[in-house]
Amino acid sequence: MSPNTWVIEMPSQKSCSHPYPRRISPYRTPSLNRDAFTRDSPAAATSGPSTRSHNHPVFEDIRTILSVLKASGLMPIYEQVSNYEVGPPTKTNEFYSFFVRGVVHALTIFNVYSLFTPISAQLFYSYRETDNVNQWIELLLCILTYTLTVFVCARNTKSMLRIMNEILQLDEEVRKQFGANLNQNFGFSVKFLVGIAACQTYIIVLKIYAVDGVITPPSYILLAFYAVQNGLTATYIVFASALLRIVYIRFHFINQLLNGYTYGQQQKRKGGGGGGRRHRGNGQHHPTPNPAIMEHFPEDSLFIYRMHNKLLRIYKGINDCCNLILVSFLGYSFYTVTTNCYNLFVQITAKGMVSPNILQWCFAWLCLHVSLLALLSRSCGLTTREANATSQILSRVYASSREYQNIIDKFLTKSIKQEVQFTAYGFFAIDNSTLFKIFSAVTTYLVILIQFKQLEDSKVEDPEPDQT
Amino acid sequence: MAREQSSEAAAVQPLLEQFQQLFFISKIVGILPQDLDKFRSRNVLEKSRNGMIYMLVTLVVYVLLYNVLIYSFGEEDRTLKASQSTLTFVIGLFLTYIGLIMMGTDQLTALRNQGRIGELYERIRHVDERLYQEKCVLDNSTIGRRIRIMLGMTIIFELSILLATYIKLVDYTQWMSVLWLVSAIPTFINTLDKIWFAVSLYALKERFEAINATLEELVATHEKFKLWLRGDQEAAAAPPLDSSQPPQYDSNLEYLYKELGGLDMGSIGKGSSMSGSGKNKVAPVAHSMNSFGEPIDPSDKAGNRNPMASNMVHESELGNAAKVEEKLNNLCQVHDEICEIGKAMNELWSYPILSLMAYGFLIFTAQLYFLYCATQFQSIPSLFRSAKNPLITVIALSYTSGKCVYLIYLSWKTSLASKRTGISLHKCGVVADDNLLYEIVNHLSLKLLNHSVDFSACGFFTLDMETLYGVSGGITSYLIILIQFNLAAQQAKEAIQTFSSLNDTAGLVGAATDMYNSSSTLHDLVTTTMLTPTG
Amino acid sequence: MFRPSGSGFRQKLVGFTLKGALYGSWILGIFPFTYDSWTRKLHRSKWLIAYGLVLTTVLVALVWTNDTETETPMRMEVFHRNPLAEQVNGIHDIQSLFTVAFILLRGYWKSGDIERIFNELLDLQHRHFRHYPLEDCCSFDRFVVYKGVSVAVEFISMVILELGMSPNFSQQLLVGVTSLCLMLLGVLLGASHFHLAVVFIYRYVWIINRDLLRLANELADGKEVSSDRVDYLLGLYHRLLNINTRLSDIYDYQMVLVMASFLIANVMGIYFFIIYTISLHKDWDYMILFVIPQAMIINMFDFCLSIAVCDLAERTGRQTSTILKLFNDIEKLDKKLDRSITEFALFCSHRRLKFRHCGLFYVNYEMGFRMAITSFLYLLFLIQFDFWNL
Repeated sequence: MSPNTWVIEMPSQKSCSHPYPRRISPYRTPSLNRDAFTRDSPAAATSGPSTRSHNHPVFEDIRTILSVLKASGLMPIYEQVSNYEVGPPTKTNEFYSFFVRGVVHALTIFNVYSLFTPISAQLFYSYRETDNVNQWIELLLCILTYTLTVFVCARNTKSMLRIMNEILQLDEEVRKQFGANLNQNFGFSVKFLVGIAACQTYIIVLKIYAVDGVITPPSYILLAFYAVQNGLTATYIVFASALLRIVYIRFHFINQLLNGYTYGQQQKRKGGGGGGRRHRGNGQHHPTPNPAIMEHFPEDSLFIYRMHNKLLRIYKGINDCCNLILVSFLGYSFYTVTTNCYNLFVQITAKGMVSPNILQWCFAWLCLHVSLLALLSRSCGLTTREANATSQILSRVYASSREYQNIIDKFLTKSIKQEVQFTAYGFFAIDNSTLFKIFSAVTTYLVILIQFKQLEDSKVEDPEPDQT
Repeated sequence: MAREQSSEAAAVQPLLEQFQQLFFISKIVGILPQDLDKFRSRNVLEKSRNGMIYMLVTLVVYVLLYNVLIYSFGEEDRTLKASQSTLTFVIGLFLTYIGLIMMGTDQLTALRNQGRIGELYERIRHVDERLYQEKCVLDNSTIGRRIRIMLGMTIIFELSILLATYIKLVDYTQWMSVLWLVSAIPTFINTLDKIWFAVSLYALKERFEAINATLEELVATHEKFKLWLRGDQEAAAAPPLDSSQPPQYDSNLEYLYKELGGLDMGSIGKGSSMSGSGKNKVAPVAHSMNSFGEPIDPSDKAGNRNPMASNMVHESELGNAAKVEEKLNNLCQVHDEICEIGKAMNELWSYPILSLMAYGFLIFTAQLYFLYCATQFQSIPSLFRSAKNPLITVIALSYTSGKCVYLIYLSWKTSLASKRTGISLHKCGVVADDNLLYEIVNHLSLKLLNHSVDFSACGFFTLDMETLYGVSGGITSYLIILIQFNLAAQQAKEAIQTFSSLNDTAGLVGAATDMYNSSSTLHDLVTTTMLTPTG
Repeated sequence: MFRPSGSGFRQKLVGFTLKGALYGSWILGIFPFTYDSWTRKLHRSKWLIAYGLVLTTVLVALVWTNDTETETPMRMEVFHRNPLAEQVNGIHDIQSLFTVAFILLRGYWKSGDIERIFNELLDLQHRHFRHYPLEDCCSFDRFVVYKGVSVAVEFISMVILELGMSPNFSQQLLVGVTSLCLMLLGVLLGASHFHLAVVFIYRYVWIINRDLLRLANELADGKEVSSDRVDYLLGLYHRLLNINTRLSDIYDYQMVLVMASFLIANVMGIYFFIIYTISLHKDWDYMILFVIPQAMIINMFDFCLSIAVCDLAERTGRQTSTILKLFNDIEKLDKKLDRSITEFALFCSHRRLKFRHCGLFYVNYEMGFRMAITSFLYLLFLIQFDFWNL
């Protein structure tokens, strides 16, 4: 039951994909300069796609994370048809993904089996009954989340490829129109990958040290698979954030484009370098006064509107693909954060039995999950804000002629009360405030847990009078 | 007081001129690193390295002093830790440092923003210039008064809390007790910083209201113009000047004002009655003058213009669509610019506001909780000794909550004032009753709809009355939970004591269990009467 | 309207479900209308109302006299341990009875309005939507079938629950259980009327969306589109929204009560389960493992379904504005057409397809999530009370 049962088809762009002449001219490119997001020099950008080698890999920015996901069967190992298109995977690769998924499910079944039987009992060594139950539930939730992730990914293979193709197509259009290359450094994804790997290893080492006695092979498998599951789920979240960031860059691009027409920029351009009082945008000054500033507005606006529609569609598509995974991850993450905070609290307040092992364990988990949550909510918030900013920027365009005003009105009318949101299966919107809400919920549950602990303590004290 | 030389700029009084005393005080206590001389001579905030070093030094000194304070007063707490539940102690420790954290946030943010604050005021000045071109002049003198009132209130509150606590609750025979003075530093610094924010916000609100007033005035002028056209000039001149609003809009307007503006009708009418009453009997003239007739510097300029304005009156601006389009466009742009300034300002102060809200929430809860503890004769952390006296608690609470509530209230009002512009604009369209103008109004109102100024703390929550309601609900529930914990801990203690006393007398073990059971279920609200022990 | 719209297996299943719901409602006396196939109109029939009233009274009397709330040992054990559970259970019983009475009475009371709404829907179907192909609206079929299945399963689970919980069978018990379950079936069917109406509205909006999309595609391909078509769609949309508002006005109290009783039943079920298995340290037998969880899962399914259908309709309504945005990037739009589309967009932004119950809350996933969270919190509080009681 996907929430978006009706896929909004875009009007076919074949007939009108090149409705107006391309403007890759030395005049246009510098006048609305996109230096802000093209790392390449303008010369490289204007040289056009022909100079690029044909097998220039797509999605180069996030290839590390993509290769991890491909190897684990979460992403299809797609074929690259051209510079701006990816095709479905070949039979062998498909079979490989299928095989990996099968292995994962087999391991999952094995793990669930060992969780429900006393084989894994030695992993739950803690001194308190509630803690063991908590940890057990945590393991189960992790397995659940990952299994769900694998299932959803397997089901959404096609739509994922479609989304990628749409992004690539959009890039192509942008490139043809403006010669801009929308790549950006996605260093954060690699950093997060390394961080996740380090954190997981650290946690497992801690766990192995903490268990006393010889560890049986099933426990080793359980632990190792647990770490892999955690790591891959986290990687998927980073991937979703990276995708959102890609969309964000595109939204930002059209917003910047539109920003060139706003009255602030116009005045700045008219006044030459002198009117530097208003520091908005990227602070670019164009000393040459442009007499026909609004000349290109109608074509550009059409282009921008179309891009915006497409981007919205991509955004929705990503949302639909990640919906269930996000819900289950948020639930899992919420649970983990709560239990770890609780453990920390117990450790700190308990007199005389602070164990550094548990402290480190808790801190590692908290770091991992909080940073992931922060990353996710931040990228969602950024993208949502940028998507909603288009109409705000458009409202700053002041055109004198009635025709242009109608163009502006056309967009603004249709975006009244149409805020875009990135939701977790419609349950709640994910943006910056989600982090805040999650933490207030954590506090509430922490209080309830502490109350339970006090009850448990009082029950432990309770039978003593009977025995004396 | 040197002004900038350009004739256009001279007409507009820079907002920062009103901030003289505030800047001076903030500079001394080390909130702002900007250059003092440049501010004095040119009313600009500029970066200064010396100021930065001075500020860092003050920050370090404050932190050191505060830690010395905590250490020297913490001796009483050592015994406390043994006697009291760990929960209370941990909370107390955290609460002790939140004030310091807040102060640190304020100062570090000010350091980070030192270049950008000046820019912000420059933008406001630019807006003022544009507003002046559109013939609406702002009076900044109320802002100066506001600053003075706020400063006075701050000092009164701080001093009263400090002195009352010092005299009543601190053992002032020891010389170390002088250190208690340090405890007031974080809140004082924080308040000064927030005064900057609040006053700037207020200035923005005034600008929004000025735009609204200008639009309203256009409407009113046009109304008069229409009446005049119809030939019943006497009827128009007959009513007293204060009720210059057209009668058929009166009730409607009042409702809208109440709903959105917070700007009472009197404040519009006042200016007109002062300057316009003696000159002419024709109401439109008087009314069109009221924005120029403010008793401040540009009054001479306005005087020059007055005859011109009175000539223009008879061809009411709204009648001329092309001209009014220009004006409305400009007003919309200014509106957008103010919204942008508001957003920028909110961003500059986002961390301080977040920390203030966290501080307010925690301190409010803690103070009430410790007040409860003090009434139960339990010991409380030494830094919260003001909670021992209900009166001081009330003062401290009203001081803290006043800060938070005022900021929230002001943000709310500002965003409401910005939203009201659309209504005023539509009134123009309705009154003019002109197809062309109506199209312009439609177009612009679509734009206005997209100018959003919402104040939020780092995007976590918006500052409006709803949040205030939520926060007060949160405080109540956490207070109840804390008191519940406290009760449970007390009862457990009592029960252990009862048990140990009863344990001496042999054979009464069963009775002891009964006692324990009945006491532990006291806080069970529903099933008290149906106690069925299973153990 | 209830005729199967296609020839495939799924369509037949849908037709069967719809017919089943119709005939079931007629038999249980909760659908007091007769259909006049000549004028294609429903008519309210006094006789059917009287029949329904009599039937319900008889059922209530039967339940009352053959008290099925027999003192089963398990129940008594739980109540003995936890008096709070007994109180909550009592509240739930009263609430259920009230719900039944209220749903039926309000159904009869508002039958005039319901008749008008159904007639209008029939009219819309006959005059406007008959010409559109209806087969490929998968969600419609799915939701209709789900609803049918859920009603049937709910009925079966109720029977299992009642029979499984009581240790000794007697004729009296059987009569009581049967009448109780019939009464419950009546309530469920009554609730499903709203559900089905929402699904129908959803399908019409879906058709409008598809048509708009087709227009956008035609325009993008450079064809001419007359503004009348957009105006026509807007008119249909307007009527649908009106029907929707009226419908949710009529059914709001019933739906709120039904939802509340689902939630209470779930919380209570889990609570009993926990008390019985954990606090009383009972052994796990087949009954505990099967009877209570199945009832709970089915309850939850039904609850989710009633929220999901509203959310589906709401989302489809939102998509209308998204589709309208596609008209943005079309060059040289005819002035008249442009105005029609702007009107449509403005209409969409001012009035949405939303289900607001009692003016209290909108029914969508967000609300459902909040309800689930709240009931979980209540469960926690109840368990805390239980622990305190030890």
